[in-house]
Amino acid sequence: MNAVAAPPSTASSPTRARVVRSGASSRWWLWLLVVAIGVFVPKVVTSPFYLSLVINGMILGVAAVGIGFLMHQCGLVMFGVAAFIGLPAYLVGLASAQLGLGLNMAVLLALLASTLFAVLVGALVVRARPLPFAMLTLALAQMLKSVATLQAMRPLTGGDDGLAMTFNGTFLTLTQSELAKPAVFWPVAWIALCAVLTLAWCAGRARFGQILRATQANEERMRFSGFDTYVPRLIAFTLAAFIVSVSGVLIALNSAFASAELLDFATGGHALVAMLVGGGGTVGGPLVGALLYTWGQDAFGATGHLELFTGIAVVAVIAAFPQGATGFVLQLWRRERKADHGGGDAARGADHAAR
Amino acid sequence: MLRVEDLSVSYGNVHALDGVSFEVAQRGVLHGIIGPNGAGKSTLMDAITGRRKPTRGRVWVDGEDITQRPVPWRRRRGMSRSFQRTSIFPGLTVREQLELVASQLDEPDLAQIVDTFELRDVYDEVADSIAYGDQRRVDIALAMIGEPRLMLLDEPAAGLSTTETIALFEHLTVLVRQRGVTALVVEHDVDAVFRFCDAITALDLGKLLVTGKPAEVRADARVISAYLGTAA
Repeated sequence: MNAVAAPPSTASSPTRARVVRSGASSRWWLWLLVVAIGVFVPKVVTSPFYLSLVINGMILGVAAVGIGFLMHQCGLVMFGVAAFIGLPAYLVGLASAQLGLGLNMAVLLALLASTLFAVLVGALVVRARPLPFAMLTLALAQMLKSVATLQAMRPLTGGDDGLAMTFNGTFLTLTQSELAKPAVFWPVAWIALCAVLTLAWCAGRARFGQILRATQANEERMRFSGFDTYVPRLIAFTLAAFIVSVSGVLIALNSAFASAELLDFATGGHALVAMLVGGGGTVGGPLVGALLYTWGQDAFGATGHLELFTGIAVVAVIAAFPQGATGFVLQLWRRERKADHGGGDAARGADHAAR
Repeated sequence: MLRVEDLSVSYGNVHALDGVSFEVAQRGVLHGIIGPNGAGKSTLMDAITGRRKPTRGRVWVDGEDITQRPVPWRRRRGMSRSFQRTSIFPGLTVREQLELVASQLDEPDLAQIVDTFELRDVYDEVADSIAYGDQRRVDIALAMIGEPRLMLLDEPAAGLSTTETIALFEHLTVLVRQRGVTALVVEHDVDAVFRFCDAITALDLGKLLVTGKPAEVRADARVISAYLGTAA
């Protein structure tokens, strides 16, 4: 690829470039520090209840990050997100029980098979417009749910009773009983969450993300600019499905159980609502939404009116913050920066940070 | 350079384009396409660029039959276009979109395009927040990237003032000559077309009326009757 001779401006001066590179490098170190410190949270928070609550929020957050990525980059909402939560969860159990694989291999196989399944499904659905796309993915999840509960599948999936798993060997030296303990499972969930956040952020910031956003903005112009618009969208769908699959694997590892409920629209609905609450415009927004949502579910559940209060809270949050909680905070921050600097540069910087 | 052979596009029983054939042999020329509303000008552009599949006929560029080729392939091989309605990337800055397309098409001198279309002042602005005239210029600049051999511009001056239209055609003339690009321009501003174009094709009701030098087309009785009127 030839170098593009961009017009000179402050944004492309060598000094500015060095400052930007140095800033990016320090942000990476800071992020690595956060990841490293986060591993040791169970040393500070010793309550299994709270650890378990946050772990549930993080697992939901992983799924929400996946669908948030697809929505932000491609403008596609995956209603059938449960397909990529339930399928890998079942696959971990099936690979252990039916194929006799060790747990590490079972996890790898589950992720690989679920991602491959996403490629096949994506090849068919990413050509569709947003609403048909949403409905097609929903139909897929419901179809998988039906398959899982078929009488003929009962020996494999456990039917309506679900699949109780017995793992062979360990996952990264952790036994099945250890994985069920919140304090031990925490680093697994935390590192997986940080990895998918990094993956989604890098993909969004790369040229690939720019191609996706430009395609979303004007697909016809992209094609008339020499871009194939189908393959990048297929890759984005596959990436999103892979990220969601990680949450399914985490559920299987932590609970050693998979049921048809994981394939139900309600499971995907939690992730979708979490993404909307947190805001899909940033990589971290869906995670924030998932943590808030999980906390809300726990608090509202204690009142005995879980659905009622959840409904009221979700409507209130989405009505008050159409761009989600992080979208609102970002907007405030952008206004502050604009007021401080009185120019468009700050606002533009905020826009880039949001991506 | 470009040869259109018996090109036809039908929607059911309606023949939007009916057996149109013409040739643009030279490089570095502006070739105007004129005709009244419904003449088939935009359909002709769509059929040449692959946006719409012709029901009959062939399109040849530099001796190669490209009729069945997909749009991105045509663009990468040097055929670009702009649209009747401004077609840019809203939400991206002018810089982001020009650089994205430039990197895809290996544009060696983006700075020249930015300077020629006077986009430096709005280079870091989000494209949908700039003035309409600037957006039109971004649209054409996008079509100009990647050293296209053939550009098809569908009403590039739509919505522009007379002064802006003249300035736009002057920019185009300079770029077309400098870069050796052949540009097919659909335009309703007849004065601009006759002033700046090297050759003109006139259409009416999907059929070709005449192709030739501006003076020949202006004097053609069928063109006068169908489009120009006696005042021309």
